[in-house]
Amino acid sequence: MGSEEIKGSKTFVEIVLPYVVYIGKRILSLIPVFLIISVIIFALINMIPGDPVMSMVNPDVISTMTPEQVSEYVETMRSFLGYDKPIIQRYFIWMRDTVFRGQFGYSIRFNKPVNEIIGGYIGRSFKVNIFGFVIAFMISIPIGIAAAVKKNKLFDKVVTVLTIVGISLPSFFLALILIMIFVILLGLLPFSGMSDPRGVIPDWHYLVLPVTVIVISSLVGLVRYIRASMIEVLQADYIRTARAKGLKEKVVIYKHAFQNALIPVVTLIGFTIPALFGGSIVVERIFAYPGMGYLLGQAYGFKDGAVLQTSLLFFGMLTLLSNIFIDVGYMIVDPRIREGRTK
Amino acid sequence: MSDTASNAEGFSKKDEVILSPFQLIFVKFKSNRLAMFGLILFLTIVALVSLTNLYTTVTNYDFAHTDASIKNLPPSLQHPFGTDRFGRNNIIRVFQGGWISLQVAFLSTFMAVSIGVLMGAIAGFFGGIIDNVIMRVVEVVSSFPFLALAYIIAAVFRETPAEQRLFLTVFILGILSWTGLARLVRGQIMSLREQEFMVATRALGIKKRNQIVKHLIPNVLAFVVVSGTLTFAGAILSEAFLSFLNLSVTEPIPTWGALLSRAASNSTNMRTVWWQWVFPGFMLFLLIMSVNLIGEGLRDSIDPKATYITRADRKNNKKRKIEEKKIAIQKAATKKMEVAESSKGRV
Repeated sequence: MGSEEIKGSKTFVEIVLPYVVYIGKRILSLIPVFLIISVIIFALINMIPGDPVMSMVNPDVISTMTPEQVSEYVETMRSFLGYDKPIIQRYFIWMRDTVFRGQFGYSIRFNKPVNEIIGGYIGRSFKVNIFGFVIAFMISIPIGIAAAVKKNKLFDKVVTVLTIVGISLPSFFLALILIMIFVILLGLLPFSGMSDPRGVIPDWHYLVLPVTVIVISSLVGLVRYIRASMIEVLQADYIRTARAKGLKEKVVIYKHAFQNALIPVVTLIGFTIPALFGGSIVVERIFAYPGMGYLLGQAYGFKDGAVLQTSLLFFGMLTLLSNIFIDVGYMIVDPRIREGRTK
Repeated sequence: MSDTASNAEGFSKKDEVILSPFQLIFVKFKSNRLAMFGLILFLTIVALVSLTNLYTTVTNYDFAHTDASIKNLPPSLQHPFGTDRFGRNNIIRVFQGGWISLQVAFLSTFMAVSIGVLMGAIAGFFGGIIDNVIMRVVEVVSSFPFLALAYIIAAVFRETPAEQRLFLTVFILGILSWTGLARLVRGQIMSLREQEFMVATRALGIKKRNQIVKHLIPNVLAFVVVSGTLTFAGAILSEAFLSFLNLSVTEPIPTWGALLSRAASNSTNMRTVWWQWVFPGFMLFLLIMSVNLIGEGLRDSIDPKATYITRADRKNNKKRKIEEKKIAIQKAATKKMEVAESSKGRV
C-alpha cells in the first residue's frame, strides 16, 4: 500500500526529466545535420551564375562615372558585402555571424541588413497561414470523423471524391479560378496586394482569397488523414470491447475512438509548423502578397544570397525542430510510446 | 429469410476459385469504379498527348511559327482551344505541353523510386552505421522546403541549353522526392527482416544481395507501386510549378505551367483570353486527378482487409433489390385490396 503511493506520486522533476533528456539528445543529434544543411545551402547559392554585387549596383550611378571610378566603387561594394574573400572563409564568417552573433548578412535587394526585413515577411506569411490552418483544422476534424463513421455510405463517398478532386487541384490553378470568380466575374474582392493605397477597401478583403486557397489546399489532406486514422481506430479491439459492453454508439465514437484518433493529429500539427512561417512561392506571387514566398521569389531574381541563405536555413531548422516536436508530442499523448522512449 | 436464401443461391464463382494475390488485386481494382474511371481518363490523356506528339514529330511542327493575323482568337471549330497571342494553335500547344509533363513525371518517378527503394532496402537490411548515415541523408534532403530547393537548383543550372532542360528538371525532381519512399521501404524491411522466411534465407546462406533483391523487395513491391503513383502525381504538379516559374523546359516548347503563367500574368489577360489558361489548367487537373484515382484504387486493392463488390455482384444486388421491391409492391397492393374489401364489408 505504502510503496504504491510512493510509486504513484511522481515529483514534477521526475515527470519532466525524461523529456528534457530526450529533447537534449535529439537537439545534439541535430548539430551535424545542421552543419551539412548549411554547407549545401551555401554551396548551391554560391553556384547560382551571375555576380551578385553587379546586380546591386545602381546603373544610374555608374553611368556618370569613369571606368576607374566604377571599378573602385564595385570593389568597395564587394568588400562591404564580404564577397572579396575566398569562398571557404566566407562560409565560416557566415556561420559565425549567424550562429553566434545573430546577424544574417546584408540584403542586396533591399539594401538593408536581413535582420531588419525578414521579420516582417515572416509575420505576414504567418498571419495568412495561421488563419488558413485554424479554419482548415476546424472544418476537417468533424468532416473526417463523420466520413469515417459513415464509411462507405453516401456521405463518405462524396467526401472521398471531393478530397481527390481537391488534392488534384494545383494551388495556383485554384488561385486563378478563385480570382476569375470573385474578382473578375463578381467584382467582390481586390485582385492582389496587401492593403489599399487609397484606404477605401478594408485590409481583410485582401486576406480572403489567399486564406481561402490555403484552407482548401490544406483541408483535403487533413480530412483524408483524419478519416484514415479514425477508420483504423474504429477497427481496434478496444472499440469492439466498448461496443460489447453495451455502450451507446455516441459514447464509443466520441469518447473512446475520437480521443485516440486525435493522436496522429500531433503529426499534422508538426507538419504545419514549417508551413506556417513559409508561404507558397507561387500563390504569394499570384496574389502579390508580401510574405516569405514572395521574398524568396524576389531574392532569387536579385541573387540575394544573404536572404536566400537565411530563409532556407530557417526553414530547414524549422522542419528539423518540428520533427522533434512530433516525437515529443507523441510521447506526451501516447503512453505506449512514452514507456518505450524513456526507458 | 430471403437474405439467407439468396446467399445460398448467390454462392458465386468468386467463393470457389482461390485467387493468387495479384489476381485478387486485379479483381479488386477492376471492381473499383472510381479507379477504373481514373485509369480510362489517364489512358485517354496519354493517348491524346502521344498522338499529338507523334503528329508534331512526323510533320516537324514548328512551335515557333507565329501568325499575327489570327492572334488571340477565342475557341472555334478550327481552333478548338483558341489561339495564343502569337497566333499559334492552342490545342496543339496544350497537348504537346502534356508530353513534357508525362516525360518528366515518368522519368523522375523512375529515378525517385529506384533511389528510394535501394536506399530504403540497404538502410533497413544492414542497420547500424549504414542505416544511420542514410537516414541522416534522408533527413537533410527532406528538411528543405521542396519547391525552394528545386528553385535554387534550377537557378544554378539556369544557363543549360533548352534541349537538356528536360533532363535537368527530371534530375531535380528525382533527387528531391525519393526520401518518403526510402523511409517507407526501410520501415517495411526492418519488420520483414525478423520474420521466419528471412531467418531461413540466412540459414541457407543465400547471398546478401539476393536476400534483398529476391526475397525482401518483392514483399514491399505493392507499397512501392502505390507510393510511386503518388510520386508520379507529385512530379506532374512540381513540374507545373517549376514551369510556372519559368524554370523548367522553356520556349518555344510549351509546358502547362508556362502556358498558365503567361496567360494569368494580369487580370485583363485572365478575363479577355481565358481560353489560354483555362485549358492547360484543366488538363493538368484532370491528369493529376486520374493518377490520384489510380493510386487510391491500387491502395485499396493491395489492402487484404478491404472489402469489394465486383460488377456481377453489383448487378445481382440490383436485380435482387428490384425483385424485392416488386414483391413489396405486390404485398402492399394485396393488403390494400384486403383493407378495401374489409372496409366494404363494414359499410
